Amino acid sequence: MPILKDDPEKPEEGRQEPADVIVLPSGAEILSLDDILKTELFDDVEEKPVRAVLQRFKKNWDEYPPIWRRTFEDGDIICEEGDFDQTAFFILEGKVSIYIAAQLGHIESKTRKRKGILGFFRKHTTAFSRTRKDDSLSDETTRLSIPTDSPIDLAVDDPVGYLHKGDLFGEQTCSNYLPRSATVKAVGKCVCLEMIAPVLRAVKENSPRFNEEYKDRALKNHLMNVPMFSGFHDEVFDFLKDKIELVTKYKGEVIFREGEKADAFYLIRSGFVKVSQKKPGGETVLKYMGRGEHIGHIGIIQKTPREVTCTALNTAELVKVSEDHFREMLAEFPEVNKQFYRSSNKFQALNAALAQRTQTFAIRNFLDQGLMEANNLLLLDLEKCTRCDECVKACADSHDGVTRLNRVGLRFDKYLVATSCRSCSDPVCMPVCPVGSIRRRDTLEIVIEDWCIGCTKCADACPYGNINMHEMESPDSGADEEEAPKKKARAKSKAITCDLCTDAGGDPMCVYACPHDAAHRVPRDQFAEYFPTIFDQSETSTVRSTKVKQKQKVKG
Amino acid sequence: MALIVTSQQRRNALLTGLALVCFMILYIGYVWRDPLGPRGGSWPGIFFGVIAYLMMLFAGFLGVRKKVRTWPLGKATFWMNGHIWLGLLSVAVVFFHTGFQFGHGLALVVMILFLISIVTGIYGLAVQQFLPRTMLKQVTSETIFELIPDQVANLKSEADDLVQTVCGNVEANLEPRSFLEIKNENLEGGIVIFEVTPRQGFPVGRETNLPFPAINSSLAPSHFLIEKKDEGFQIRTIAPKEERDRFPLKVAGEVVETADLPDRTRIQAGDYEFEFQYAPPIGAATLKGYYLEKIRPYFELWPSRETKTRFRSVEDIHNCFDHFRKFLPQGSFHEVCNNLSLLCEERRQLILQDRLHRWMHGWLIFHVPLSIVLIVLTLVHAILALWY
Repeated sequence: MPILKDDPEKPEEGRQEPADVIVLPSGAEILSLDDILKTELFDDVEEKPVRAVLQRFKKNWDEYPPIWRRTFEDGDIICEEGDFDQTAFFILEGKVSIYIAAQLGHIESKTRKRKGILGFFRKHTTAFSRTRKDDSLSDETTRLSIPTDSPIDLAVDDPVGYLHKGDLFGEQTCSNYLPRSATVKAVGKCVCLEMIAPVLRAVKENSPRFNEEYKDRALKNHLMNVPMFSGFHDEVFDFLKDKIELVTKYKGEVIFREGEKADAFYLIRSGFVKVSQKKPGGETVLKYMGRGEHIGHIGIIQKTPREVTCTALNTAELVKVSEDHFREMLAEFPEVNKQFYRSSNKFQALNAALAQRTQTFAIRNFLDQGLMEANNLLLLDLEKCTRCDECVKACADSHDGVTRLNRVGLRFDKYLVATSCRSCSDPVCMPVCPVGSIRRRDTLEIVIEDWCIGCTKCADACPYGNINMHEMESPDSGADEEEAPKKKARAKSKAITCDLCTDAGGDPMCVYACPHDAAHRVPRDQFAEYFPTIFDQSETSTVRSTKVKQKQKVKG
Repeated sequence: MALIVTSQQRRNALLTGLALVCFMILYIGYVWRDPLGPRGGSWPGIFFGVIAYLMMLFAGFLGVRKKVRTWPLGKATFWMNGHIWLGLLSVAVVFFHTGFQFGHGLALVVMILFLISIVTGIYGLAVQQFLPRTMLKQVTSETIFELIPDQVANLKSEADDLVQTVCGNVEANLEPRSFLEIKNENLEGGIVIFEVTPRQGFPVGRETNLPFPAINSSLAPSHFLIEKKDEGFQIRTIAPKEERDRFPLKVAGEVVETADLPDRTRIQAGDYEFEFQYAPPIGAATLKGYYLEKIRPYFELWPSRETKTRFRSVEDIHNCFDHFRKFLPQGSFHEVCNNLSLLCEERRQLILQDRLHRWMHGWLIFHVPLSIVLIVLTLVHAILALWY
């Protein structure tokens, strides 16, 4: 694995630190600076600034070059999903296939499949169970494809694609230290340039051709993935082609703020954008948006100021469509207009519901345990709990035999805050996923989609240890590996977390199965009922009295 | 400890009371009117019998509900409440059915089974009411019941490690070894500290005046530090200034700060000459002996009754270690003692948790099978009684 040396852009806290020295991969061919500049990557690039960047590495060029050439034979793996590399690739010759090798699907336990009479009984009675739909089949899913770290996205049902001469992949791995999002394999002989972040940035900043190509490809790709444009992709593309602007926002830069005038619509090309809102209890992160998603249409459609603040979480590339052009487009395509209208209405209804939920409380030591971060807690009343484990068994029963709940965790008052997802206000697990498989439902629950590649980033990121990695039992392990590339399933682990059993409707299974009335799933607005001691009485009463006043005003 | 009474339980109690009153009125009416007196075979008797059996079936259904957790049969709490209250009510109804007789033959067997089920049930209800609170209060380091053996193994290895920091390998014997022997061993980490024993001019038998107190890299202050350097070892004075004057490090009569050790295992410190040895510090034998004999058995999965009695309560643990501490030199040994006492306390809590858990769930071994047999035999009893 090549390791980066002396990168000016410091990685975020908690992310993988680049090492100090490059270890060149075997088979790397070191080219001289002039030879490098003659390659196709630098065809239309302004030479002077790029040369200046490359000159910085001149001193140790033979040992630690910033860019080198590699040749792959047919079937060679160029990079594997989940690997923590720090380089990007540019294809000079040949063709590569890009695919998700991890098996799609969620964790199931084999031990659950019992034999004998009980097994027979189970097998023939599953129809009676409160059914859980597959996580990924939820209506709320807007993704039609799996985002990858390359110019193309992969279809969820058939995650294989091809990249050709002149394509660049691995940009996110290179500039944002995310693990590789997909596996890339050479198809026939293939020659690539592999580079580290400073070179990649220099090329992108100084190449008009790259920007042009990006515009075309990025836009086309995005439009394919925005459900609202379904049926009009090509027309919309032709219409918008000359009207867009490519914007890059670096970590922490605000794209637009709550309360500002809505002046543009954005499609996210790469990176992550945090969508947050000021709430009485502090900032609440509503969503993390990633590649292929869009922001900023609501303000334009509703002709209202921005209702959320959008901030770039890491280097984010956006396709910007100004207000006027967006309106023109809506006028041109009434079907698309209708779709956007529907989406903005949905958001507003949701927003109103959430606003009711997030009431304010005066909080003291509650904060110490990070409980206020939570939107939903699983509390076990230890005065009633007989430790019969019915909740854990029920969780396992409803999630294919693998429990997502551990009856351990920190204690607060007489409650055990069990290790199960808290639907945090700021779900730090979401932006670290390289394939965008962690999603927040509209009702704030966290869901991990089936295309998880098992890179463990989310499990490491969760401060409460509520995401577990579980070995995936691969049904066709040992099958013929030479067939299609996606058949090359490896026994890999996948991340699992509590989904609050929302698909089954009603109470979560753990609460439903507790015979002692000890398990409670408590949404944020009911925290005060469960922890009366920590909420400042005087302040809650002021909240109440202001509410009464408001009611009286309304009546008056 | 008071009962936990929720509004729901109050409502359930009220409903049960009402039902009881209704059944009572029916029963009194029936006894009043029937010249033959109350008996199971009469129509009202059969009525009470059927009602009681239905209640038993309902109560038994909780077991079924627990086996099919994901079925939409209603919340488990509903079934549990029904189980408890109808179970209690069934006692009265069964006696109304029998006319407060115990019967004979199969009826007697069924009656005995019924009463045992009820008694075990009430016992279970009581322990499940009170013991969770005891557990919450007294077992602060609670873990998952199935993980107790693992946790105990962890505690044991932690305790071993603790003792090893001052006594060396707990399983090895305590014979001192010479420095030259030890230096050939592969020693991990940067700093290695040896105990030294006086060789020349040092008053024999006055160990406590040694310039090298209980030595350990992390736990005690020490006058000299021996570090691994390249091929061999180096000794360095690290004592505070005032102490340094008392015990200067001398090599060939000259006061030095550091000295190489590979060739010279005899070092002058103060007026005395010492030979460096890797030896257990003073008190090590005592600690190790006590640990191996009295404390370590406590970290077995099934400690003996005697061991358990020694550490029955927090106070016992405190007293035990307070007493034991008197035999040990100050500093690192006392610290090890403190930490050991914490581990013992955790172990004690795990034993308590284990016991409470068994109390809370052990009665089910009787209650469940007996109830199943009861339900079957009651059916047989009903069929036979109606047949003949």
